[in-house]
Amino acid sequence: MMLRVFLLLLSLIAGISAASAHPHVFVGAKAEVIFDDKGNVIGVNHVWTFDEQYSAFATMGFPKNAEGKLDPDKLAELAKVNTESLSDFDYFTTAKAAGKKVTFSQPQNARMVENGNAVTLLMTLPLKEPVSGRTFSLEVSDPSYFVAFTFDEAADAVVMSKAPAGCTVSVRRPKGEDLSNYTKLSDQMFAQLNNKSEVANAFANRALVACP
Amino acid sequence: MADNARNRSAVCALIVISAALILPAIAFAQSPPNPFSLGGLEGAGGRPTSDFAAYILSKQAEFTRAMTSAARHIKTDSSSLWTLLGLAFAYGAFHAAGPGHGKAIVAAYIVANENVLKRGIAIASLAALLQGVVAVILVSILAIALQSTRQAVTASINWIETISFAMIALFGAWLLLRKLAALHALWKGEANALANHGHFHIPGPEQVQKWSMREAGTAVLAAGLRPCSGAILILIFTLSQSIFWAGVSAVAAMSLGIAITTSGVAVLSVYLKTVALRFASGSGLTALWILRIGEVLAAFFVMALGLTLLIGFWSGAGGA
Repeated sequence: MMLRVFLLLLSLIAGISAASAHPHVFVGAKAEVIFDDKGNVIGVNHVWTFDEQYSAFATMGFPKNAEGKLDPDKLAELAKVNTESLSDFDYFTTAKAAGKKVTFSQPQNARMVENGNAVTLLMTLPLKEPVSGRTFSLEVSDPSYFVAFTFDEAADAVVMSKAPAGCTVSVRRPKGEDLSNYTKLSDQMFAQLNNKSEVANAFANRALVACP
Repeated sequence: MADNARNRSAVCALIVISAALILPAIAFAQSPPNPFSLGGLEGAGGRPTSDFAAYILSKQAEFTRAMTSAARHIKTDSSSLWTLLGLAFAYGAFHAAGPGHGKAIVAAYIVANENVLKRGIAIASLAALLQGVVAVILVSILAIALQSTRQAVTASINWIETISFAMIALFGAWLLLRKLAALHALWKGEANALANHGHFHIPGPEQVQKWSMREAGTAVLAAGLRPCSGAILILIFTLSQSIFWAGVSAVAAMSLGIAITTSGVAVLSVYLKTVALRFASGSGLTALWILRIGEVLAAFFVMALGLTLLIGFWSGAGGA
């Protein structure tokens, strides 16, 4: 009996420690998959809106004009600083064409705009080489999970620009908030404290482009 | 024969406890700086790989959003303050279940010392309080007095973090030296080592008290010096909404939540240590051996944690 309690508590500690990811920044993402005239994908336009807490932090100390708007020069500088270090994190963007990982070049046209109490970072992420859009998957996420990316709830969260006729795009958002609907959780939570699971997969933030 | 197996499993258990608490923090030290980081190393951990981790994570996301919303409504609806305080308290309790927040230090302190339930809880609570106080002081000086930008906050957090890592390493080294001395004394079979539970090398009881107070103080500083990013964020957000006082209250509630969780870890560590020792039923001497080895390992883990974090920091991980 004592041994069982002991082992249970031990696995609880291990489980708690394993819950190591704890995001501090929440981003509502929108994306535009850009096609060229030949119907190939050549890049992605990112629109990342930060949560209000992080937005306040990122813009703290920025001068404001008479209407209370943040100084555009400071916002431009912030966009530059943010995008410069993005390459270390592969731009938080994983894209695959026909299942094969593609590479991106440095972001272009990066800018930061005020969006109510929040700030939004916009940039163009060009592909090194154009790829077929037949099956093109786009995942926006931070593998370290410091930043929690979620595609915007709006219907136009992921759109296509100049896509050939017949192309479709579908979005799969992380299901983190819907965990209460995941009945398996309450039943088996303690049984599979550290097992890889469907839930982990449910955190993927993906869009899939399919062209004929 | 059966006693030997039990003893071995007790030693294994002590190692596993220390490792379970400390290793995730070491894994932390090896990740590069995030472009949206607040400074320091907090936060990197990887996508959740278990239902339990995913559950805790989804709760944190909910808390953060709900806190922002409650804080935003305080100016128009005073009952939102209570919502904010309740959420901040729960966020603290949940949040502290993740790595950091000094749990490893508190647990190791307990594994490495005898009869410290009350002192363990006191250290856990004081460290949680200190985290909140440091966050409030930092934001008051940088954001209010100096009107600094985020770079100044990031730089300060990096500095404070370096100091706290050094303190963790020092605390571990000091524990290790003390516990190695106790192990050595046991090895030599000194009778008074048994009688005085390892404090033989320190002359009077007065000095023992003095040293252990210094050690407890170091543990509080090592565990609580680094302000929690969640606290910094809510303070800066409420400041931007001209309700800084609400942010300070929220951080107080958050610290209370963190204190309760880390105190829980302290209670758990004391309990696990007691049970582990009870498994080692054999002679008093065998139990003492297991105790001493477990203490040395716990101290070593703390020192390794501090050094790994420092090295991770200097190799550029947190310096940017």
